[in-house]
Amino acid sequence: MVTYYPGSVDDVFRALADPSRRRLLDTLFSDDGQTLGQLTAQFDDDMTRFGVMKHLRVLEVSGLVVTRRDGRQKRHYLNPVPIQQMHDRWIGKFRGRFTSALTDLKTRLEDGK
Amino acid sequence: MTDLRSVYQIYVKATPERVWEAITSPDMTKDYYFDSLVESDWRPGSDYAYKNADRTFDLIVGKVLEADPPRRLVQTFSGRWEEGMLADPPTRVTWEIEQMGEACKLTLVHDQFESETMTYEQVNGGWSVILSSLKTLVETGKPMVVGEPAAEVAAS
Repeated sequence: MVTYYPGSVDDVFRALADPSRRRLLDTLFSDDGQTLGQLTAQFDDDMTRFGVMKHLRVLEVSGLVVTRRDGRQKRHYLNPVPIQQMHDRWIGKFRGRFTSALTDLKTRLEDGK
Repeated sequence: MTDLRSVYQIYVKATPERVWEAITSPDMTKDYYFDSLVESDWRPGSDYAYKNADRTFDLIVGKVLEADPPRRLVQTFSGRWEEGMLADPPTRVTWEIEQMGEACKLTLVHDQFESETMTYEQVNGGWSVILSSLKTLVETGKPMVVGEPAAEVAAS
C-alpha cells in the first residue's frame, strides 16, 4: 500500500509553476491566515471563487498552503517548510562549510596566526 | 485584518513517540534546534527552557500549558536571544502530532503575538529550519548540518 503525503518535490514545483498560484502565495505572505472569501476579493475580476478554490487545492496538495479551522471559518496559511526542504537539499550542505570556515577564521585571528 | 498566527507543517516518517522524543529531549534538540538543549519535566504548569550548549544562557523560556504525549504539546514562548525581545509579552506555541500511516503529520502553530513584535520578526523563518532539520534527524539519525562531504575530505 502506498500512503500519499503532501509536499513531494514534484508537487511543489508543479504548484509554483503557475503565476496565479504564486500570486496567491504572495497574498498569504503579506497577510497570512485569509479565508477563501478574503482571497477571492483580492483577485477582483482576475479569478473566480472557483478558480481560487482550484488553485488553493493544488497548493494544499503541495504542502505550501495549510488550512486551519477557526470557528466557522477555514483559514489558509503559507507553509514555507517545503521550500526550506528544497533549500536544504541543494544549498544546505554548504551551510556547514561556511560555518566551519568562519570558525577557522576566528580561531586563526584569535591565535594571531 | 487577521490575527497574527503562523502555521508550519511537515511529514516525518517515524512514530508519534519518536517525534515527541525529538521535541522534548535535549539529546535531540541539540542536533536540530540551533544547538540548544531543551529542559523540562513536561508537566502542565511546569517551566521549560531552551539553553545554549554550555547551559549558561536561556534562549527561550516559558511554561507548559498542555502536554498529551505523544499527540499534543502547548507552551508559552518567550524568546531571549535578542535584547529587544525581552519586552515582548509571551506568545504561544502548539505542537500537534498526527499519525498518518507510517508517517506523522507534525503541525506547529505559533500565535498570540500582540503585534508585529521583534519576537514575531525573529521567529519567522526559524521554524522552517527547525522542522526541516528535525525531519532529517529523526529519519536519518544524523543532524542535517554536515561538514565537508566525505568524498572531498578523502580526496584532499
